[in-house]
Amino acid sequence: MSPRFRTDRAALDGRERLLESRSLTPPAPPCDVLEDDDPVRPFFLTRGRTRTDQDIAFETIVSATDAGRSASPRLAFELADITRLASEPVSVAEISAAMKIPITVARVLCGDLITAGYLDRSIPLVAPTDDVELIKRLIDGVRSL
Amino acid sequence: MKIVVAGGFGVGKTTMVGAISEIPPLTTEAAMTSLGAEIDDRGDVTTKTTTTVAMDFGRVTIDRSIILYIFGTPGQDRFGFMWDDLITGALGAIVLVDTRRIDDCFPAVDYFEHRDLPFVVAVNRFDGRLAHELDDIREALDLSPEVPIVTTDARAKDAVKDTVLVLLDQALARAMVRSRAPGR
Ligand SMILES: Nc1nc2c(ncn2[C@@H]2O[C@H](COP(=O)(O)OP(=O)(O)OP(=O)(O)O)[C@@H](O)[C@H]2O)c(=O)[nH]1
Ligand SMILES: [Mg+2]
Repeated sequence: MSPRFRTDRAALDGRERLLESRSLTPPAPPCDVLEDDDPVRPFFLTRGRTRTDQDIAFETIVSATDAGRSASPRLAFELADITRLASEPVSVAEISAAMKIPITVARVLCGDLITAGYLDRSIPLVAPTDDVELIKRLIDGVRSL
Repeated sequence: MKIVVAGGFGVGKTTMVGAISEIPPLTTEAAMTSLGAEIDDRGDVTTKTTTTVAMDFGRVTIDRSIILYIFGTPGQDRFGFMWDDLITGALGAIVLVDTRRIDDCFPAVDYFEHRDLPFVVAVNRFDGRLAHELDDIREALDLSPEVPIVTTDARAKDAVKDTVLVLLDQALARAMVRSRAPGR
């Protein structure tokens, strides 16, 4: 499993895609400022946020929902890329590495997508740090590596 | 699930992550807004500075429902904000030490001592003999008795596995105490 970050963005219409991203997040400045290869873009989508309302950590595994899959073509580049990467369960950290965007940014964008119902994340009933059985299984697993 | 490998510059964090990971360590960046107390010309305090640090991580798939991520922290000690983010939900941390530069791990030890997080001090042998005995290192770091200190070889999978297991035992002990605690 090594999802690649899509690079051919020329065919994509930034304005149209941004419309969708606007419905996810607070109003953005005019989309004219966006260049397809602007390294600042992911930061632009986060609007400077480094936190999200969603409870997600760097290692949280996310996966695209059906809604996310069908919305994907209409999403802003990075959001579309994330939903595509998440067609198989993938961690926020791996999304960040695959897309070469800072992990804090990946986390915010994943949070937006979860809020929008485009990504799912499994929430354990017991925090892993308190889950005796889970840690025992982990120990057995590491022992047999 | 997640554990963290911390320690000074060049102490072998990335090497350790790579030794146990099923994939070559992946690198990611963390952009951080830190609060700096800089006073500008007008006497106003400008508070925001954004710094970017590289961080690497590896992955071990245990079974369908358990994937262990191992994060190597940036070596700097002034990135406290990101460390807080990083250790959220972590089972524990390994503080890697180079005996030739013991002081370098102080910030990490100090940090974890003030968090409710199991950690293990692992002395990377770097082939050679230890420049100091473990007990001397324990004393130099002023470690509390419940913090294990072990030797390891960041390049060797088995040694790293053992170190991780020492940490996971600590994590298990803590989970057992917590799950027995009333009101949880
Ligand atoms: N001989 C020997 N070399 C080691 C060992 N561990 C790490 N090294 C070497 O030490 C150097 C630094 O190791 P890294 O794993 O990059 O250290 P790091 O802590 O990730 O370094 P920073 O991320 O820059 O802080 C590399 O050249 C490694 O090959 C070891 O146990 N023995
Ligand atoms: Mg490194």
